[in-house]
Amino acid sequence: MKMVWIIVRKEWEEVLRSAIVLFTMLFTPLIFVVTGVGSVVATQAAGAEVGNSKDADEILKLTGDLCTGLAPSDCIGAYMATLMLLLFMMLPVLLPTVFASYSVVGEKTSRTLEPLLATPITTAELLVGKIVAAVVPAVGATWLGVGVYYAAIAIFAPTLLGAILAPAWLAAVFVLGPLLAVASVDFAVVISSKVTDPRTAQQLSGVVVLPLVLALVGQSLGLFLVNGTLVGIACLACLLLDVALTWMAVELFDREQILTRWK
Amino acid sequence: MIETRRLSRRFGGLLAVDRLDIEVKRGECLGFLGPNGAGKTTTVRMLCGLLAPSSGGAVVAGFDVVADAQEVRRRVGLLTETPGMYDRLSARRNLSLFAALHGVSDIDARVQKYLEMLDLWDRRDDPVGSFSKGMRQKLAIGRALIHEPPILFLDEPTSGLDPEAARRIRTLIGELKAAGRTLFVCTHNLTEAEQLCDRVALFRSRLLAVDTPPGLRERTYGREVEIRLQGATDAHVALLQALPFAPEVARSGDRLVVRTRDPDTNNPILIQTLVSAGARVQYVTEIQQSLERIYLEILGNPS
Repeated sequence: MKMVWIIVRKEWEEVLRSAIVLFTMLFTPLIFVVTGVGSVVATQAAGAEVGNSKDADEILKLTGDLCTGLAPSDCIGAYMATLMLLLFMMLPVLLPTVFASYSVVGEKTSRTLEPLLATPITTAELLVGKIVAAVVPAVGATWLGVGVYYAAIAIFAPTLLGAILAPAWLAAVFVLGPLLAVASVDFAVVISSKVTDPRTAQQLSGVVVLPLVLALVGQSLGLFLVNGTLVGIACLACLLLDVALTWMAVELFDREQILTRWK
Repeated sequence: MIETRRLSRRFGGLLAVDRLDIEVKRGECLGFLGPNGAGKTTTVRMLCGLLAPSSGGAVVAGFDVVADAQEVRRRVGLLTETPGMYDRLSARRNLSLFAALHGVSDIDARVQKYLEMLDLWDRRDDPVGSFSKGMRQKLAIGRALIHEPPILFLDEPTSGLDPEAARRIRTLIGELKAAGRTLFVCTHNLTEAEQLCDRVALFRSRLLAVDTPPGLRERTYGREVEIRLQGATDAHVALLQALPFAPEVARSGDRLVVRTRDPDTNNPILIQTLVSAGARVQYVTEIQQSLERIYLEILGNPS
């Protein structure tokens, strides 16, 4: 664990000094918070009119459990509040790819991996250190962003708080989020082993966000609503993905591979 | 301290290192010479426990490079071909990171010791990205030394440096050698190898020769002495060739080049013979073939 912590500290000191990484880690959650809160408040205001319209019953039927106990006028606001939480779920996917891309590709381009590998550290410790270093700030930034979002909703739209504090969404934020972050870092490590430019690695690693974009679009179009069952399935699938991608990353993150195959 | 047994490494169809047998004793400095792509870096990587041999093996500091690779890495310092420093971190932080990875107990004091030794203490808090190439190379040597390993592998330590920086690095390596460290130096710089190394190994995928620089000269060219006479003639050549130990003699103007098996014994006889015959000897000197010539001769004609 000591070696892992040494690597984590080094990663934070080194990578977070990159203006691009720091900007992305700080401002992306902020942008999400502003977008989320603004969308919810605006939608709720519009919802007051919709709630009094003839479509109110139809909306209540479509949103199912989401609107239990809510007035029809709040229902569309609750719908938007959860949709924005889905947007927040992109943070633990996007942020680690930025960090990990700069971390791994940075080591390759500055040729710092060989001296590092010549120390008594094991490649597993090195890889775990890099994963932890990328996952922790990303998950931390996500939770901080979600926390601010919750606080803003509590202030500006308190009646919607129940919808976003539902167990399914709490599980999504606190369980699925870290699992997504691990998958994202593993994927970035796999991609980074093949490229020599951090931005290329970051862009290619961004592919991992596609399932979330599809979920966002699906819920926006009313194709489905994220609920406990869906979050449970997503957690299980993500766990399996984590295992598979970590195995791939471990295979690639091997002294021999790094020194002889990584270009 | 270092012993290899038929150490080999293959990359697909390429045999990078072929049955290397070599031994480096404690406190010895071995120059490992060969052209680009000869397999020098691969050899160093195997000896540092970074790459596994395809066959054969090696023992470094008493540990097998495959079975005890981690123990080997604890006991060796590696200066890689490119310094590879963390540019955004300070010099002090670069060294303290590696000190921590090697489990050094008093990190601050150790880092200060090496930064002062390398004349980098005044720049300790500057990001390494602002350092010159020579400063980075010195810092990389500091990184290789920070855990005070008994064995140092230096891969092209002065490559790409200006003469002044290269001289400083050579001085530093000389001090390390004087301090009793075992050094394995890969270099293209033959003058450097001759100045620093007790023995040199000529290598191109396989070991072509290993000896002290004078030993290599003798093996390749024998020992030659140049005798300059006032008015040398072919009669002087014939006079020397008639001697019982039958030296090889060549004349070029007033210059005679004589090669014998035992010059320490035979040279006084040569001079006495010439003087007795009335020759006027201007000077006598042993010819020192350059290591470069030996290198090119052996690599050009490995047999």
